[in-house]
Amino acid sequence: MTVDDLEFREFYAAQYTRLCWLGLLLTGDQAEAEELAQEALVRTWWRWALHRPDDPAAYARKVLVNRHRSLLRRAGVESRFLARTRIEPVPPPGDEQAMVLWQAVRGLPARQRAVLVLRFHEDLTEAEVARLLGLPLGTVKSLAHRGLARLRDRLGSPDLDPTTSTRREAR
Amino acid sequence: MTQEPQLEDRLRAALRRPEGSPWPEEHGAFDQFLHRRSRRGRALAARGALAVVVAVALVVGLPRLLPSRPVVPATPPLTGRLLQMPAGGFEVTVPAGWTDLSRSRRIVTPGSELGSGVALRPMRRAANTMVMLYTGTLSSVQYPGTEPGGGGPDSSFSTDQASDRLEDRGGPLGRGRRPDGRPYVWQQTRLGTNQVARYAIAWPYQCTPQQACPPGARWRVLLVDGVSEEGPATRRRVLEVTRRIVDTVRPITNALPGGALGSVDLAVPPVKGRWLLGTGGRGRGAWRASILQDAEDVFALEFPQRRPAAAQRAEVIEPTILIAGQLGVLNDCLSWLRPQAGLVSGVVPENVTTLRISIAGKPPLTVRAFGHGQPARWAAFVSPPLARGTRVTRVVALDASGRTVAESEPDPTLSHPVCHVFR
Repeated sequence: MTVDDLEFREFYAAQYTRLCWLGLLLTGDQAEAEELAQEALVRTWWRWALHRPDDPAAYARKVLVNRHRSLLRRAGVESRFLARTRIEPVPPPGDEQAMVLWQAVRGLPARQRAVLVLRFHEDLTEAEVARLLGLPLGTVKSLAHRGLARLRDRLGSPDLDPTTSTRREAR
Repeated sequence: MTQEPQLEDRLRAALRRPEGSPWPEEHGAFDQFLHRRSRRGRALAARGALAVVVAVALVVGLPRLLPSRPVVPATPPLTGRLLQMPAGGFEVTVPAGWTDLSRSRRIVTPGSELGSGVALRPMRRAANTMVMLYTGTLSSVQYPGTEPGGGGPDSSFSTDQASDRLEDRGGPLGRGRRPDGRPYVWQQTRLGTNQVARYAIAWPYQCTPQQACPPGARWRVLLVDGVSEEGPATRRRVLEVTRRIVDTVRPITNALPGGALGSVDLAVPPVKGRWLLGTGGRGRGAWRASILQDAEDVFALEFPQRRPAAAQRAEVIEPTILIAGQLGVLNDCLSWLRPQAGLVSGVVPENVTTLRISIAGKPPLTVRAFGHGQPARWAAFVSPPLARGTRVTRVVALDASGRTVAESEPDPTLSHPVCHVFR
């Protein structure tokens, strides 16, 4: 087993935060995000030990996304329960509008959220998202379309429109 | 006139990670990674050991089943001929166009034992193409169904298979049930290997009251392996035949109640198995601690009442650590309980009677070891439920005279607050 520890450590340092962030966007939970990132990096290390992936970062991302999907499938009931009792996650820094949008994304169904996160956070094409999620291209397009439509709806509602809430406060 | 940014652009900006911002708990993350990596290594080693056992069995068994010269069928082809293997407790109808190649009464390997076997091959020559049937007692953890005579479902054969999808180099796995109700597990294999499919059918040895039943007899399985080095068409055909055999192979002699043959399979050396050390906990936090013995000893802490599915924590016991006076301690979170609670557990040498668990900011807990006097020759301990956030700092194992036998090794996860990350 030959893994250059220094090289992997550098890879780890470069990827940990990125993967945690992706995990946070997918799950909305800091602890789950860390768990997913660690698991993805451990599995990447073992893969690396056997045969270095062509693109270790893409491999780690793929492990994380698949692991997240597996967890969703296996623990649907538990996840729904946890979602109700979950402590508020770390919000991303940014302006008020970005925060509102981020919260709206968190409120999307898991598959729509995953598609939008991979499309607009990871900058993947729809075909790449389809491959990564193991879904037909048409399904990905449809999920993206419905996700964006739902976001437009939600952003149009008074609860989520920052300009509306600011106006209300100003009154 | 400024144009309103598109929703896609706003989304891209909102989801963007701020450059240079560290993750809140990045400090210490790499230590956690190293620990998790070594844990996974041990788990992989355990699985690898099991795979080696199966591989060794095949390597040892195949030369006996395969003649060294090109095959010349010893018996004329007979459609629907019944072939009986009394020692293995099964009879099989040889499919049309197939014949039996070789029989072996018993194949014994250091890590496992296999009972009687037979290989069937097509009459038309095909490279290394056959269906092998043989009884084996590989391990209680591989048993495909409910423990004979009671007990709960054994979920360990295929636990976590979904999460290992990326690393699974084989094909799909699954469970099924024969028309007579016997459960089985199966695995198909992708092109590129010569194994097409493997089925393991629950085939418990039925001991008569007069017999001293070997410990592993109840965990016996009938393995049906389809093998071919030919192309997809032949492999499909082998798969079909394998499936048909799985559905039609019948139990006889020692696989039927009261039908055991006195001295055939009982002559094999006793197999390792599963020893229950103790039970505890309540409700959905109820646990069952066992030692599973196979190529290596495994400490298993099962939570049969967990919902939506039972959970199992299994860890390979590393005797060298205990001999060196160190103690491997597991720190688990019962994340399905409300409120969540943690358990600290582990395996100790038999001479340990109590454990002292030090907790940050609180008086130490004293826990009794249990499970002494078992053939497994290990004892275990499980703490009472610990509140979320509890920080265990040290665990010391003591013998009856109060002498220290072993201490917890320096371990970042042990001192990690209960239920914080590792859940």
